[in-house]
Amino acid sequence: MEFCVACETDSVVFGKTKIKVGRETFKTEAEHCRKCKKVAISPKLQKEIDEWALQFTKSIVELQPYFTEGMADKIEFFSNKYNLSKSEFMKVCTTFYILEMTKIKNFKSLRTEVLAEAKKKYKGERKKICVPIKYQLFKRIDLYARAWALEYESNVMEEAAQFCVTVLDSHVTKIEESKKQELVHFVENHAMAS
Amino acid sequence: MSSDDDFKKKYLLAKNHFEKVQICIREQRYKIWVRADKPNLSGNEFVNPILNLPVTYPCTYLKRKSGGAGAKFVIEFKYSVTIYGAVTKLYFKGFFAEDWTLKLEIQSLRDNEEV
Repeated sequence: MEFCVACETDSVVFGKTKIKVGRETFKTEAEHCRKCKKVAISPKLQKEIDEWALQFTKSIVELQPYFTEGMADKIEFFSNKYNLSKSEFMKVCTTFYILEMTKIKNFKSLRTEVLAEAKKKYKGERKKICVPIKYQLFKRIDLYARAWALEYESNVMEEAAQFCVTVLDSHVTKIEESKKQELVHFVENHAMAS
Repeated sequence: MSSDDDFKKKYLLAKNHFEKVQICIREQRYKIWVRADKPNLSGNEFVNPILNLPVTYPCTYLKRKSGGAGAKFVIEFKYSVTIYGAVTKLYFKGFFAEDWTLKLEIQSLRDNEEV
């Protein structure tokens, strides 16, 4: 058996193994460690996983973000306003948040400020919303969760929806009006396309 | 990706082991060790920034805890990357296997850890 760089024992074998991707399982043959159960992913294998996961027409995972009653009501309000389902609206918010909002120069302080405002403004009991998502968004969400050390992927969606709803709903001084308009156009365009 | 001969030539001409790490990454001759139940599906985002570090980047070499084929040491270093506005501190551990591939593992470090 070969050396495992993760647990530093000679426990690596080549053979059939399973890699969990959301709620689906990718079956392949790869190097894996019998002791620490880790698996080696080469760029080629990663490409195979991506291609396999993109074939799913259904969602690859269902996230279950929690929102306060106040926030859930606002999500419903904006979903109706833009003629989207709640889950579609949240996916649009998450996409815009991850791909565009994070590019803002002072994103770290803005994130803290807007999320604090959301917490103060939208109160009530927390309730769950189920959001099925496909692989492309799941991969982005997973990366954001790792970068910001968030425990669950659903935390990313909670954050993104809270951030975007607060921006749409109020005047956040640190955010340029143009960025807010960009978000509005992004949601409107998505609503038009769906 | 270069042919095997070109790659081996570049690898053998490397000034130090850190440059070998960079060559393996650039030439896509690496494997990232991840948890099978929660794999990091965006490994490249953490690996590619290593290419921007200087060849003289400080590394630690530790003797392998077991015998067997491949390099007799494990290479370690800490670095940071910015992803989606977050500065993430990372710990890299790599091993040059007998088949000329770099086997590596990347872990997140706590905020108070120095890089």
